[in-house]
Amino acid sequence: MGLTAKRWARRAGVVAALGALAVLLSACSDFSLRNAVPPDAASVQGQASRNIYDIVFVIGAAVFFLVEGLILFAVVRYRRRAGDDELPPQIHGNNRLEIIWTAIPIAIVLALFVLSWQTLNTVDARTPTPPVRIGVVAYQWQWEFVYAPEGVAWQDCGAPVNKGKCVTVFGTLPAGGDRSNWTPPTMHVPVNETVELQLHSTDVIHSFYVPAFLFQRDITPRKDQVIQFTADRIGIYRGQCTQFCGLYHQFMEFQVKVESKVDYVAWLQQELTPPPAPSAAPPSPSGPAGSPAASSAP
Amino acid sequence: MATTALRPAATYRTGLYEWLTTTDHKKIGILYTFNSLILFLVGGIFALAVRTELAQPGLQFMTEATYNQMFTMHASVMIFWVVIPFLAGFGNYLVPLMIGAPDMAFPRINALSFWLLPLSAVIALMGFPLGGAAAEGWTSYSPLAQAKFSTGPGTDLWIVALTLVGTSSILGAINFLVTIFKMRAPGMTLFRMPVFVWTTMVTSVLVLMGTPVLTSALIMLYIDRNLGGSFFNTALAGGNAILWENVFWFYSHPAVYIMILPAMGIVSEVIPTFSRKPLFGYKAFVFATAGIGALGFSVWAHHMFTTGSVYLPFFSLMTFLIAVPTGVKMFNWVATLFRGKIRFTTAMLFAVGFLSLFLIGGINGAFLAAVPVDYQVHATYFIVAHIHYVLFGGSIMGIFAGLYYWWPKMFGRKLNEGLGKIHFVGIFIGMNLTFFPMHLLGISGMPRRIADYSATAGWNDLNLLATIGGFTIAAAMLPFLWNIFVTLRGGEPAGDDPWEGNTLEWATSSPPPPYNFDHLPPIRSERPVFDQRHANDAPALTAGH
Repeated sequence: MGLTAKRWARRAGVVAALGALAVLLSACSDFSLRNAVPPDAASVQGQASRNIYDIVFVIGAAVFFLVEGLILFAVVRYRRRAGDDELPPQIHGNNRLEIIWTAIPIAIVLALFVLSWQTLNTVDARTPTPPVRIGVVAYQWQWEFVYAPEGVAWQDCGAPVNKGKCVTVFGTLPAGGDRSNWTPPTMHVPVNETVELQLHSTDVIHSFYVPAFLFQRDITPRKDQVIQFTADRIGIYRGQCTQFCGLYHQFMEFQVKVESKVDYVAWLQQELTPPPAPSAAPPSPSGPAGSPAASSAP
Repeated sequence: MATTALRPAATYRTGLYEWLTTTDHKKIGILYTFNSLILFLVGGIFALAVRTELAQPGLQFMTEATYNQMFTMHASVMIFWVVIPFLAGFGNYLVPLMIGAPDMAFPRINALSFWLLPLSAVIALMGFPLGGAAAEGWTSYSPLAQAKFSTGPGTDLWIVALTLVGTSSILGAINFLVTIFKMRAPGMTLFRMPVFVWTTMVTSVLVLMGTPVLTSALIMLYIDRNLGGSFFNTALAGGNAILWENVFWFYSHPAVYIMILPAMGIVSEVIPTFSRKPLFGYKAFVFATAGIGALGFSVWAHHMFTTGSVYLPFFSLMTFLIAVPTGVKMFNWVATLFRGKIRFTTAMLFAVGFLSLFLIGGINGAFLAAVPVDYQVHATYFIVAHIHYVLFGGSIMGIFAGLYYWWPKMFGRKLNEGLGKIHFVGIFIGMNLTFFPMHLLGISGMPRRIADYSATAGWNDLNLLATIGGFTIAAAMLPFLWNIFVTLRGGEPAGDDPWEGNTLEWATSSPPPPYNFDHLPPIRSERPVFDQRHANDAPALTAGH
């Protein structure tokens, strides 16, 4: 009975797997094996994270194949044959084996801990004098990126004395919730320079996440965060809020445009030159009126 | 061999009144089981709503407001009203039987623990007709959960309901601990207790230490929302959003062990029985369980690595270390299979399914212990994949194994094995189709809890695949429900000991009489029923303990 059931289960499994595969192949529009590994890192810190990811992945895969292999071997090799009613040897345990399979995992996880801690020190390293500082304001449900000149804190951009000195990029929600004609707000950063983000939330917890930087940091109200990164690949990268922040959480997307220093400075100059450039749209109506950053519109 | 001379069923079912007022741990256990099963279907419908909406980019079926309620209530129902009570139900039914006791220590408190559950579930679900259920995610982070951002009654109902669930859990934990420490039969020393009883004991300690923290935090959140408190409300002086995360996870991380340890206990009963061997390394297993319980309270802040408010090395190290006792258990299970004579009943299939799927949930958990990797995949679909390999691949597979294994004891009739195998195959395939693609969605950057996504993000195929998997799971539940229906109407009679079990519940009739045992076999090892069955065998077979 056990045997026929097994055969039956195997047959059903094969049929279902083939069916699933057929559905998958016929519907495949945007999947590629590229999705099976993290994005190519676009920052120095992201590359460090990617390296530790790869190490963990290799060890994890090895453990997976070892243990699944043992399970599969055991259930095939030690299945009860029909008519076999003899008791197998009643083995209660083996202390040497217990010590081995306690000690080896301890060694593995300690090694992973040390490696990941070292990587963490790279990822979280800070320089006291980053060449670029950007204020990032998160609110329900959009972003603002505030570029203040040297010597001015982004929070002070709204003050009359700083009028015309700051550049603020405002995000807007897509009209009618339709993403097709919508561009999320874009944060411009120069390549190969350390950029410091000063993260601030005006309402609930948000999270600043750029998959290509392999990094995210929560933005908790009253707990402003400072992060630094060095983008090392020119391009436009997707970013999104990952901390659920209410009704339109899904629309808290943004982009990071990594460009050459020349292009970056040119963009900043263009934004500073009156009349305001088209990207400086008025703040989203859902933005909290009177928030420090919202009042810094040029 | 067993005490079938008793009249087993004559006074067993005496109508609705008896079921509503019973203090019999077995009936309460069955009530837990059916209540959890019904809410499993409710939570499953919420999950299907989420998967249906995500099948394609664009909002086709619901608004963001509805979607946010769906994923919030899916997680809340599955955690608080399905997995935890399902396992508590097994504990209720089995612990007194397994230790040779006539009932739980406090039968009326036991009934109260149960009846708080359907009551609280109704309260939480009442949000839907009253203008919207809770929609902040089951983590209910503040300040999003504050009155300013979450208007409407749903959140308050959710808080009240969870406070009742917390009370139920605390009462249940006290009951289990007193029962286990004070009511074991003569000869049932601690190290002769079935592993399931050990896991229930450690779970109860976790509940007793963790649940009051969450319950207090919920009351504080209620005060914030309704009475102007400022515990977690950052709009007021002194309000601290991180404080909520700390107290919430101080319970809710151990809650993961509350949801997995008893399932490990179930699997540790099923695998030895159907391998016809004792559990390999019984004591190592007990120490590993205790180790998980102890370490379980030192890892909560790994849910908060990305807050910038956590001492990272400590929590990273502890999170890596907690993988070790879990690994020890995995090797002990596999060693139990080795040189056994394995019978592939449905219960055993689910138990082996538990091993192969929970393994993945353990390995992808190790990714998250590495802080830089967590920075990358935290709050993405990778987390959703991880928790479902633990709670579905682990807890739910264990629960199904337990249902097929102990159903004959509960009702005197076996669930149909053919339907059971269809159920298993469908669940196993559907589970992997649903949750494996979520790893890939996560590492390519799809955040969790979004109602919709850009069509150009590269997530269309994987989401469609996950949705197909979700409906496969739903379809696989149909033969299971049909199986319950036909078995309750007249399935194959089971007899007292249909599987050649090891532990005391197989020494009484199926179903057992109200007082459980007419007489007990001598208890000289952790397998008294095995010892009795093989008392006259050659000594070489049973020696060794």
